[in-house]
Amino acid sequence: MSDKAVHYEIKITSVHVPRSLRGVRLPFEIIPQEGEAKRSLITLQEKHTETESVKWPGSYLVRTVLPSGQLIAKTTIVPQPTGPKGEASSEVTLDFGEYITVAEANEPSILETSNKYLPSRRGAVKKPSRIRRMIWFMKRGVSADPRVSCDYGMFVRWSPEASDESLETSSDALVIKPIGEASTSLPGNIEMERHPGWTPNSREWRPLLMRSRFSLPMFGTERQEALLICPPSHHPPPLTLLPDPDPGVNSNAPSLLAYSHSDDGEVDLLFSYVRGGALDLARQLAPRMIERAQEILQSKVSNPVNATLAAYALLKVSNTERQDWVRNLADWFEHLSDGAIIYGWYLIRAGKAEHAHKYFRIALTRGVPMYSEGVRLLRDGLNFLRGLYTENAQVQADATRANRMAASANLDSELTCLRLGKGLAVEFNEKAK
Amino acid sequence: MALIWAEGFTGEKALAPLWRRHAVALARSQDRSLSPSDRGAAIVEAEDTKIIYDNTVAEAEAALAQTATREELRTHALVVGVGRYKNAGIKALTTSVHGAWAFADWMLRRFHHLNRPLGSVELILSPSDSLGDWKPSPEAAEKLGLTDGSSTTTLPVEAATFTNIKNAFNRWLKRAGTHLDNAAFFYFSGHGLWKSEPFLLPEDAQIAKRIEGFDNLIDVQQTQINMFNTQPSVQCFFIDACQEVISQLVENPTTRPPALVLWTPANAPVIPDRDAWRYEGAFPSRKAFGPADSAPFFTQELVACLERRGAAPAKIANAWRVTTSSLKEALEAAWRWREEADREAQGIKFSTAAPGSSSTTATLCHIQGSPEVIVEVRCHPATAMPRAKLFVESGGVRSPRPQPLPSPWYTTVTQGDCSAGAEFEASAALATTPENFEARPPVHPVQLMVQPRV
Repeated sequence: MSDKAVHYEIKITSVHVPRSLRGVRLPFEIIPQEGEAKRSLITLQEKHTETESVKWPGSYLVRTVLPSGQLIAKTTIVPQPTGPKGEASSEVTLDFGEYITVAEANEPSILETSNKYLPSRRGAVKKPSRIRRMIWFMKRGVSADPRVSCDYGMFVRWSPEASDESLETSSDALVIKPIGEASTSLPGNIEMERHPGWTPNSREWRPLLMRSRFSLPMFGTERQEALLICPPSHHPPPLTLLPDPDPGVNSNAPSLLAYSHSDDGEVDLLFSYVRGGALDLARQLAPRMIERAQEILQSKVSNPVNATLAAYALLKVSNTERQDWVRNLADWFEHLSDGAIIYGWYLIRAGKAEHAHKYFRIALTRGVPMYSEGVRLLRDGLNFLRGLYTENAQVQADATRANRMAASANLDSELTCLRLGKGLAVEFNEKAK
Repeated sequence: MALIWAEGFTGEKALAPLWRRHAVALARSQDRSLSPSDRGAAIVEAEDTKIIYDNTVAEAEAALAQTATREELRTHALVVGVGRYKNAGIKALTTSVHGAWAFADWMLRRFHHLNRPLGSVELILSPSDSLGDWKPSPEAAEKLGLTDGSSTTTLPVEAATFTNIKNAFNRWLKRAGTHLDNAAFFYFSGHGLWKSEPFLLPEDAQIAKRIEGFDNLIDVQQTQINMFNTQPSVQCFFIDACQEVISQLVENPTTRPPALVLWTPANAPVIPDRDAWRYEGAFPSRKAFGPADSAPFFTQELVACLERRGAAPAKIANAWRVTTSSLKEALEAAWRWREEADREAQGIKFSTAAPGSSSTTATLCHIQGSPEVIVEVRCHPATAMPRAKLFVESGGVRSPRPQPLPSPWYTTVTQGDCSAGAEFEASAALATTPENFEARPPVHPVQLMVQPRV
């Protein structure tokens, strides 16, 4: 019997799959002792087995990385063929056991004031079909004091020109002023059946701005205020607020992390990999995601937020061949700034930096990006242009504004989370005293 | 300039001895204890030796460019260590200079790449007065051509001021950029700060005071971003510096980041499959640190990972290789391992960043011999961990965890067959079966399923 007739395979079974990963196609590597790894996508279901063919008998390492960064791996030995049909297979069981997702890993115990609160896919707290005004952070099962309150504020169009320049130059405070009649203030205790920025026509979607007042005594944070940006969605948004376990990273930023997830598990997974630096796995998902993102954008029920997440990830892990859909993302959704930022970066990466400022400027006039990744890219992009166009006063001013925004943001948060309040220098001095 | 080594330049053309002759003459020319005529002679000698050195460097750079035109790939390193600071408010360091010495020494002696061998090493140092000039190991001294037979051979190099670093950076990137697929390694060890991005402090860094602002800080993040369209495609920064938040930075009212870039941007398309990483010895807001008399912990672990502990999971062409991605994995486990294993290393935490990177497959170096593997052992359920006496067995030798702890255990074994298990006190009424596995680098996770003892 020649080797060509032999079929070698590994049967991979997943057990104790976390809820957040069920149904998700997770990228796996099947690595021989010598040679390139085989990369494959495996749909995770409890006790579900998928079969992967391999070229040779011998020892293989089957491994993957969860969105939290946790590595899972098992070795298995594919034997020499023994059966009459020339087949040889081995089995490997991946027990997800204690491995949990990012939000689950950081989640404090939350007092369920209502039994209607249910764990969401990421282990977050979500009340189906409604968002309540109050989200309570508790010490682990000890205290019953409320720690965080959120006022669901307004969604408006920001104007950089309306900012108070004298304040901007006097401290590190980010000053953003709402303008015109578009400002819509919602009462703080409103219960929302759906995201206020949602409309049937997704081109009119607006992000929701939330002012959060919170104290996290166990993390040394007293009476902070933060501006959270909540992306619009077809369904009530599952929003997770977590205390930042490492609040010293940026004392200018709120000690609060805000997460959400889209209704597309693979888009979320790709974005998680990019945020966690697992770029090799993200690259594995990238080719099909390009097609997918265009579909998401151009389908009848288009979803610019999901497309934005895909675009952020693809900007990081792929080259710049296809930009049309990203340009559409930038042009079609005139209340969402993220698409314009991403397209601005595509232009820079294509060597067309002279056109990028227009899009960064559009992004600034649309307001604050929905995702911290956008805050970071806006800052980096405008700083790049500032170095390139040293005589352009508008570029310099816009870069200044982007730097100020980034300095006020907790960049560890998935959703944009800006610090509000007094001048940060003032607060810092008060704290020092 | 302190290009101390270039491929093919040995004997009379070895760069380090030429530089040392110049540096020694220059020092004599500034020594006021010498007679005017001696100083005058030293000035002439300093000028002459500088011309010889500069001409030889130009020759070396031309030769390296020729190498690139033959499609032969090379790795180019720039190593910077800062221990002495002009600003009285910035504390002098010794570990950082030991770190730069260790990394330069490793590059010269042990760096091994089958397809992209070492092309050049440039070294810039500001050692504190207590340390003095670099005393390369005998093996490194021999490679540098410093073969005067003395065990105390020293090599003075240029001071790590902002201008010197920037000039060296530009020369280094030009050398490395002669071929798209070359690799450029930048190592920095010294003080660092953090304000939404990391800043590095050269010897002449100025921290803001009442009457003066920040000056000469290095904006490493923006520098890397500006390099997105600059050859070569492999650009690795190893930064062993604190990322502390200080009040002067928070209070700083200026809107620009108070730091300068080492590389100015250009309007050109992105380098395809750029593999650009920054491996850092500190997590934002934290300190990097190390023993006063040797390299910082990050540099120690970095060298260990590049040399034996950071291999990718499979051999290619019968060789174990360290990739940008496997090094990231290894370093993320290495600080956990080191923190538990070394009381002095409490509080270390490394981090990585990939500004504008789009690939993770570049091979940084190859490992000679068998690699080590960091094994991560945990129990399921996790509640069993505080009672689990974990162990690993490799090559017939059992290594126990010193004490049970709630956190996963990171330890090292030689690549190959081994096992991991846990024992429990009788009172715990728990049991688990040891797991046999083939340890694959860089990090092999093992989850032990713990059951109630029947």
